[in-house]
Amino acid sequence: MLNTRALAGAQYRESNIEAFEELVRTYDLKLYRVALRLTGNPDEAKDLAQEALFRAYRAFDKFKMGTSFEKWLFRIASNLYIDKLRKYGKYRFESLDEPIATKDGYVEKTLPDWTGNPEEIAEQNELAEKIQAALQSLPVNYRMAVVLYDLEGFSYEEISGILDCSIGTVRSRIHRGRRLLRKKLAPYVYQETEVGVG
Amino acid sequence: MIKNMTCEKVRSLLSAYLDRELDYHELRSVELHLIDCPSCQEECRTLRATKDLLGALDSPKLPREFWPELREKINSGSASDSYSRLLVRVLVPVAALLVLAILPLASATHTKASKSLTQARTNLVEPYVREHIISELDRPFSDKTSLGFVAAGQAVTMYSSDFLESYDHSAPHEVVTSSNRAGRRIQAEPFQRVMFLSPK
Repeated sequence: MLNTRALAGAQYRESNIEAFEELVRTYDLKLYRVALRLTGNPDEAKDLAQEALFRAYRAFDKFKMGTSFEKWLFRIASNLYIDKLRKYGKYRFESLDEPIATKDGYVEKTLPDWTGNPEEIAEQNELAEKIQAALQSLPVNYRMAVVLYDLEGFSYEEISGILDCSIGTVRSRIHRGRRLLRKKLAPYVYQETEVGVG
Repeated sequence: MIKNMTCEKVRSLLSAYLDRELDYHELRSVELHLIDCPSCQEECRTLRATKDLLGALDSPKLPREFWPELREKINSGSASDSYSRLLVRVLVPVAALLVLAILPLASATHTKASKSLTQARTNLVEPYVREHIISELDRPFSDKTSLGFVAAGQAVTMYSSDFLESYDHSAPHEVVTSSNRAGRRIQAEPFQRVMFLSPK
């Protein structure tokens, strides 16, 4: 468990990077994994995780003792990610569910239906790449909720603290995110359920 | 309370049901519905399969350069922090000293200008006030107390506080005496005292 009191101590105040590194080692891999699943790119994931830790290091005096350091750290990372998305717009930010406004009115978006051609899909990339691509296609709020719950095992309550939203919102985002993933990954999903049923 | 839920309602709760994030009543309601609803069972199975699929993702390793690069970043950040501290510790006191050195000069200039302005006001307004008071003093039935208050009010309105502070209190005597009206000096004194708020 992180010794936050030690982190706030004199050693940390004197910029003891080794002490900081030792104390946040528990979270570095987890943070990198989340960053990788959010960005889908190892270099950007590394940058995001490093930047989040750097900000945590510099802002540690704002951390409230007795609260969850992990939640605080992941909140920094998720805010940072959203800021970067807004600033650079590298990734998709719009909701797949929302209709697109055009000159002639609103147009509903359609996702490709892969249910009918599993052979063709099987010839494409590896399963992991497909899943990552499907994750990348999610609206950012859904993606963050799904990644934090399904990949990193945070509770709904913890996610509501990290993403600064209600538990009901977390519930809704995870559910919508999974439904979109199911649509994207239909060949694998239905293959799995058939195997499970058989 | 356990309710009979519609398919739509149950489906909206299926992810939370799979995640064991429902309260007791919601959980029992969903379970009861699922027993008799094959389509919701299928919905639940596919959602579970989707959730399980995510587990197929490999767990990456932390890049080797992760911490060396971060250390360098923190070091350079700390260096810039030190630079900022240097700015605060050295440049701010220097700036403060400069301000302290310049302030008396600026103040002196300001006081000079202020005095000129006050003098201008005095030259313009003072004779009228003075003449009014003196003429009132000549009238045998004038209310001296009331006149004193009027004079005081006019004085406060017309004479700024910096004027009151910098005014040479000997001047009214000279002014009154220079009016060549014998005996008025004694009568005028109480009003002068009120006017200039400095009892002698």
